[in-house]
Amino acid sequence: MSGETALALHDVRVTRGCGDGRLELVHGIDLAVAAGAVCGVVGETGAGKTLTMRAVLGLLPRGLESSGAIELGGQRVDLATPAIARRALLGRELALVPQNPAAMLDPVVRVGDQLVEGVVRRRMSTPAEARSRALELLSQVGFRDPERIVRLHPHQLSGGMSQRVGIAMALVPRPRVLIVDEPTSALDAHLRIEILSLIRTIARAERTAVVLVSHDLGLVARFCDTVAVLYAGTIVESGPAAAVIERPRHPYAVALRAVAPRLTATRRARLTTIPGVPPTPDSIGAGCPFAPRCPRVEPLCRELRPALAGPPQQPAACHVVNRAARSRAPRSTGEAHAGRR
Amino acid sequence: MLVVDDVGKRYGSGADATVALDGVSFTVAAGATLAVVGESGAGKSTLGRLIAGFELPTSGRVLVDGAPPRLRSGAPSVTQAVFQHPSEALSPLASIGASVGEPLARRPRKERKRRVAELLELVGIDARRAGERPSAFSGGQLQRISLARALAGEPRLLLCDEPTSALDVSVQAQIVNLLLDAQAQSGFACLLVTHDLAIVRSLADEVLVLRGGRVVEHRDADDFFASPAADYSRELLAASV
Repeated sequence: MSGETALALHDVRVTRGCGDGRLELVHGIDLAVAAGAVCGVVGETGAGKTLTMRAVLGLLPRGLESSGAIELGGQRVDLATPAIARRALLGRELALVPQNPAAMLDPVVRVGDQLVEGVVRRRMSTPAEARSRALELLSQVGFRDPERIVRLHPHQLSGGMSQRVGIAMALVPRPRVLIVDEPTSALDAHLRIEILSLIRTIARAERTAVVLVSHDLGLVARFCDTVAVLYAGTIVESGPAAAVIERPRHPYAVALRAVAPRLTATRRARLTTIPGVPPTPDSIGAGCPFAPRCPRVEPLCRELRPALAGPPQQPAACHVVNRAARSRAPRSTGEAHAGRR
Repeated sequence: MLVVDDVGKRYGSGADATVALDGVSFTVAAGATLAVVGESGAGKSTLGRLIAGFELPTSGRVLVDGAPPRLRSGAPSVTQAVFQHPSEALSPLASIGASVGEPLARRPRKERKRRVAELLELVGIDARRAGERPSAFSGGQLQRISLARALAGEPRLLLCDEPTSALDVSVQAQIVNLLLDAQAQSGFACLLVTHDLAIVRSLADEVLVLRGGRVVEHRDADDFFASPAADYSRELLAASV
């Protein structure tokens, strides 16, 4: 997981409307993903995971605007510029495996032709090179007979097969960054594991940085090196996946872990739930967006929005846990700082 | 409550026939939950359709409350269902109150209104919102509403097909609790079809593993999770995160 940063997000924001009706949906996301590493972005529906990634890709729906910047292999890209100006990056430096790859495939074009179309049209490789790369990737994603697969039309593929073709297609141009959005939510458990293992293996081998967008904590714990937890359009905690999932600091991350159904649970025992519902973008006040549902809420939380702080390897955006961390071990935190430098 | 006796289902005929289910037998008692697990193509959905009465088995028999399932217009079936995508189960043009009250069509208007309000409160939806359409609600809320609608039919058997797979984790827990409470209150038998073993752990008394239309394993849930007997069941458990 060591190595250069392949993708960095700097203060990425997404807004809707203008003037008085202007509403911010994603409130300044900072994130870094190393080459060859898998970074999980976890959050519930409406947390802004997909919007953030769409802003990075320049694929926001009409009416939404992005600001901030990304750094892609040393190249800085301003997200406030029109997305069309950044289109050249898409499918070359940045690639997307969407939620439903079957919908991305052209029903009347053979799989093989679709796989190579992008790179050949952009003159990134010759048709013959592209074709051999496509065949190689198809066998890497688990097809035993790639020669047969390239001759098929999309309707002849099952759900799992289209998912694998979608991954191969995204990888043909050797992108620096692969964004995988809610992979496999429609797939069987074992197929899901197989496909994510595959993505991770290929990422390591080709030094591709992977961003895995998911609401499934278990999946993220199993496949990611680092993780960022999103709530109401902000990162509330980030750090190494094992630490954030097993020893979460932010009360929301703690609650997410507690509510997940487990195989080790007692039969027919009621599950823990988080009271209330996530806020809508127009109902977030000045304070912490999680405050209305938080078991550890204090008056300060309702007034001042907390910033990501605390131990640099696992910062959390929470006044309460950060104050507790400071008072508990001021010295050891200082030493940790010193050790890192 | 539910008896499935040596049921087979075959689509097509002759050499081209696809065998979807083969010699499947089990029973589910009132108040109990059986989880049917297995990968795509195992026959889970076919089994659900046979039990709901949407299709007839090629061989064997299905009995719900002592009789083969029958679909009659005008009367709510003894079997009600909750599906993966609640938005597809509710009419987008009708108010949620009207959808929930549909199985109560034969009751007097006043009583129907009272019962709809009761059911909505039971699933945690503000009854004052009964006049709103599905588009005004989130996915988790819609799943609660479709459960209220299923309960309105006073089912003896509730079929749950992937009831939580389309929902966020925090909402999944709420739906699981709601199903546990509703079953404790009404005592319906429940057939849960899912690939999510963690949900099975929370809801089921017994687990039935289907593969290629055949029963691979059928055991008490505690035993299944402690020591799955079949190799295939162990694979399924290992694949769960």
